[in-house]
Amino acid sequence: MSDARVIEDIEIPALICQRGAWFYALPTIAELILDYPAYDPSFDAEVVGNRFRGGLAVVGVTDGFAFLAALDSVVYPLASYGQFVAVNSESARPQVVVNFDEAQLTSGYFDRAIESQCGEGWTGVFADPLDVLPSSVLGVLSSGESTT
Amino acid sequence: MAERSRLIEGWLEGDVLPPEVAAVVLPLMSVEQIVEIEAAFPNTVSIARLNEILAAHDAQGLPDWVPSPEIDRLRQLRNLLVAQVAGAGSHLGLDVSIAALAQLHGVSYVEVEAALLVADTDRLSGSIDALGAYGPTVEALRAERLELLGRLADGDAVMAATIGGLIDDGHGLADAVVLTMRAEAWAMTPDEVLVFDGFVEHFEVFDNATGGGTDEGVSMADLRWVVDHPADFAPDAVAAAAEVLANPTLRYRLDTALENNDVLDADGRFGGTRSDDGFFALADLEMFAMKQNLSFLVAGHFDAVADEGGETDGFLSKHDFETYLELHRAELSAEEIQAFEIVIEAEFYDKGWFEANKHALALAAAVLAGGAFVLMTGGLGSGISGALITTVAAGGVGATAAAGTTFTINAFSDESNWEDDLLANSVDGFFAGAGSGGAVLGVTNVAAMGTAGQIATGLGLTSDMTGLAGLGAFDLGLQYAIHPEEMDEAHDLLNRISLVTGVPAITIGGYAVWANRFAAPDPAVLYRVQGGTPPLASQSRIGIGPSGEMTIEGSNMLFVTFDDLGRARAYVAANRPGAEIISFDVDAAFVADVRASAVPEFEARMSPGVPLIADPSKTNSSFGLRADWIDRLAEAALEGTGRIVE
Repeated sequence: MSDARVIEDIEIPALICQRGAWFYALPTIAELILDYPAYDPSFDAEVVGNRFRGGLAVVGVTDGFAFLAALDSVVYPLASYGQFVAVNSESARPQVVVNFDEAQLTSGYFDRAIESQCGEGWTGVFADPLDVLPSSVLGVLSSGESTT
Repeated sequence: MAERSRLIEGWLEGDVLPPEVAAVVLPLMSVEQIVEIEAAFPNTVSIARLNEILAAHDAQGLPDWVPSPEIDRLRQLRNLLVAQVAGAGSHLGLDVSIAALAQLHGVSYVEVEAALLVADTDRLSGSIDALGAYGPTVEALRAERLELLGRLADGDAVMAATIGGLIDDGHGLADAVVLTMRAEAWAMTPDEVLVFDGFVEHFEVFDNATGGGTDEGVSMADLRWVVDHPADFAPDAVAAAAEVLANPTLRYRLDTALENNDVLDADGRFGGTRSDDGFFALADLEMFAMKQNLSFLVAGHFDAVADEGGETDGFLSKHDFETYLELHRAELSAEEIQAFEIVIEAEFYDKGWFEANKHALALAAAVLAGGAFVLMTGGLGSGISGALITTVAAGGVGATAAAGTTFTINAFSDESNWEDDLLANSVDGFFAGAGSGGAVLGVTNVAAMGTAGQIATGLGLTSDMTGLAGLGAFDLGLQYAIHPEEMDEAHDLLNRISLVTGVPAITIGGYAVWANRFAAPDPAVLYRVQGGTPPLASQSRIGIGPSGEMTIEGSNMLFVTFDDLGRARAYVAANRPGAEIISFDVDAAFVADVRASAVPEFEARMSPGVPLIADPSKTNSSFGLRADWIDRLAEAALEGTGRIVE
């Protein structure tokens, strides 16, 4: 059964790497702002509770599993990328990479400086996400694009 | 007909309309009218579906569903619907006539009201006209104050204790009196009055704290920014911001001042337990002042309203106020009638706010009215008030300025001469009255003063001490409400207001004038950073069409900034070197809608369709617009104003 669906306008296609495993995900920009309280001074984690990112207001470099769990409903196997391309064409292209193994967030999203909101321990980079992917992942993406 | 039913069902599914409204109004509307309303409130999924349906039907030619050719009436219905959807605080329904609606349906006014749960319809239209119907003499107002003097006895002990405490804290006697009176009137502590004054005094600084342009409002982020960057601001501004941040109750009261509901609070501090949007617009401050000032005229009648208004249910309903006003119109002063009408029209009776606050308000009324009289009549006073008058009359200049000028700091610096005249005459009126051994001189010398001077002297120090606060509230509204080209109209309105005189009338007038800002506000300026080098590039989504119109590519989230070029430049410099900034003038009403509708970014999944607040730590003017709002933006952009910012 296909996971693919139309990507919503608030969602940013991203790749997440945790312990060597890669996932395709459709988080919102806010969900990619790893240190949200620093980004939004009015954010009150106690008030918001689990309504945002499963209560993970700040995503530390060791929070990979918690991050994936918080985004569970929008996290997909990397192999499903081709299905999203089939439905969304170019809009499915990953624009952000959150690599917990390397403690690095790479964003190619021009309109917002997501890379500047990572928080302690992270390295934020404004670059083409495809430039920081291992060949194996690129191969999966390329395969997904070519089969659609 | 089946299609119409489907449309209505779609609206109901999206909670766009109260069912009562939908059931009565929608069947009478044309599809075109529904589309118009949809354009104003497109932020629901059901609206989007509706739009698709209508677009398809438009292409095929629509059947005529309109049962009446009386388009004007239907337009009124449209406005009513818009007002309903807009909710409390909207003035979009200003021109809606309930009477016309009743006529349309062939039912009574009350029946229409009950059926539609009318909330925001003719809240202002009647009040403006009503102002011209009154011309109470200064003598009549004085007589009223004399009658109210009897209540002062209960208030003296409270005043004395508060004033004594303030003097112990280092305040002069006159300042202590002013602070006490204002605190009573506004259900504040004197310290809160000082915090409020500090907030108003530095409002413009806070508004522009993060650089760029102003947005006629102060956010929590603005205040925190000031506190976190003390080197960039004057020490008193930093201290004022810190005080506001440290006083959540006051913030909440101001933040919720525009609401007419859920203000039940036994101690009279309505709205003090919860925040609204954390954005303090001038409108919040003005509405707060208006509610408190207006209340002291009405509070004394609460028991009678409850007894005579109709059902003895302990709730002061609109019907109660209307009935009481009808029965006692001949006995009430013009001020009181005006106050009652505003209560009814602006629906301040709603949710029992007056009922909940009547004790505090009655005290405020007694203190204010009595104090004003005592000060106005000089040595005729007795007891504490009598003693106070001598001191205040001898040296009360600073006190009055302290009470009033904090409100007026920004209000009289623009092009309008009559604004200056209003302030000068008002203050002169007080000085003449207080500085000559009693306000009698001021009262007897009314003819020598301008209209505004009569306002000040006619009401004695009520106008000045609580007082100029009222004037300030008015002026706050004027400052941002009136476009220079509208000054003549506003001047006329002021003349009508002067017929009534007094704080309530002034604040009411301010309220009416304030509504004018919806008529022709200055356009806002949109900025968007776009460009770059592929693949690290933004689509140049906003462009300038062949006729100078705004063109927008795509329907994905569109991030824009309003009135804050500094933020756009900073983003380019710090994050996207080489990008370009495109700008367009945009209808200010659209920007106001964006601000009013926007939610924090983390709520994106919980709030489908609405704009998102972006980069709140950097600016309070960046937003992410979603598909429906992008369409509205294109319509709101002014042709021929697009340009690339150098």
